[in-house]
Amino acid sequence: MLDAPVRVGPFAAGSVRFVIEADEPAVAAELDAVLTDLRTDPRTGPSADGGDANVTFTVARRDPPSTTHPWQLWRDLEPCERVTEDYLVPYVLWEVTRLLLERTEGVTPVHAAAVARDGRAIVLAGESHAGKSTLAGWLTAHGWEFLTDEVALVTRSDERSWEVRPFPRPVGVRHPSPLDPFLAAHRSALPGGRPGAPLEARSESLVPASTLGSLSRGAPLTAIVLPTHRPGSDGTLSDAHPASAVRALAAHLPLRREHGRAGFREVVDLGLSVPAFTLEVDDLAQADTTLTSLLTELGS
Amino acid sequence: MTSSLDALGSTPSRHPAIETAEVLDRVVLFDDRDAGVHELNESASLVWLAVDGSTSVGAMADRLGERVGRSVTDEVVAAVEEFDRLGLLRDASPFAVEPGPLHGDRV
Repeated sequence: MLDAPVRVGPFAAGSVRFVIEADEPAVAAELDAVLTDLRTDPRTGPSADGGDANVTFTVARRDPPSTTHPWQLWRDLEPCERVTEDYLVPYVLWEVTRLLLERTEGVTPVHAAAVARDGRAIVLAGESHAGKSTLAGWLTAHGWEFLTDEVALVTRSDERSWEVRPFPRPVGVRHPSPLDPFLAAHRSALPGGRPGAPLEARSESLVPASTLGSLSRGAPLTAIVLPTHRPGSDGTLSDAHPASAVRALAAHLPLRREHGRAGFREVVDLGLSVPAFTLEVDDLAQADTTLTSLLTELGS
Repeated sequence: MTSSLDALGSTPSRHPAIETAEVLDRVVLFDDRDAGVHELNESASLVWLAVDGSTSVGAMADRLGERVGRSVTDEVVAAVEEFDRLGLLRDASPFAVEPGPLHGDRV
């Protein structure tokens, strides 16, 4: 489709491998940087040139040109959306997430962030814009390991035990953010970040979690935490009724229509077998302390 | 508008699209039609579990009232009306009133 495309990857979205071809090297480099934590080892997966990748995304400027929506994305030559300059990278990420959700055999994807510490994972589930990504990013910058900020891939390890597999999408950070001080230190390494470019000039950044800290390769699920942003809160942690955890998870299940009752039943089993808590968040450092103590208590 | 008297004689039944999950002392419902999720509190959960398509609202109220030692008729009627409003019952409002010999046109 493209005369001389620049190919980046392979990447992995769950069990699916993909590569991206772009007609502009700068765009290819931008996507490669944003998706760096999803990069997979070409020696164990498809060939480095992407020839054996499961899916190929193609990104190119539209011909004839468009002043409002100059970019077109294709997935395996099937046209997807036409998008604006600013929305191109977020849209590719959205399509990558969609790719993941299409192939989730044996996994229950829940709309939640997840982090791990000392080999144990917690899922942070809540409404959109509840601060899950910011909390997950903060924890990652303070010694926790990052699993995801958007889709937690939960799978059974036995009848009553679950584990969380990684889907290390870049963290969506809206500026100004409590994460800005950590990002400023890596400004030149951030996708699209020109040396000296102020973070304040952007409304949002997609930040690879590896910029903030370490990535987890998966961990047993120890707790479900339902964070709510409450100004002035001292970081109160309370037991949540399992039914509330089920509602929070099921109401935002990414594939709730497709998985229907079976998906709902999985979430019910999850809610009945993993302890759940509500966490009032204002001070992120306090939340870190509270969650670290929680893991200690649950481990004893 | 369904009167309390009508409500007490009605025999509501759960809509077949609704999946019921008992989570300890509460019920969580999943609506297959729109993937909606409803968490019921403890008292509403007791009422929902009593909705079986053959028990009248009045009988539900009597049974649940015996359990708690006081009249709960108003609460039971209100809960069933809320279930109806949310589309959780088969046959929308007025909820599943079986026409009897003294009811409506069949008098």
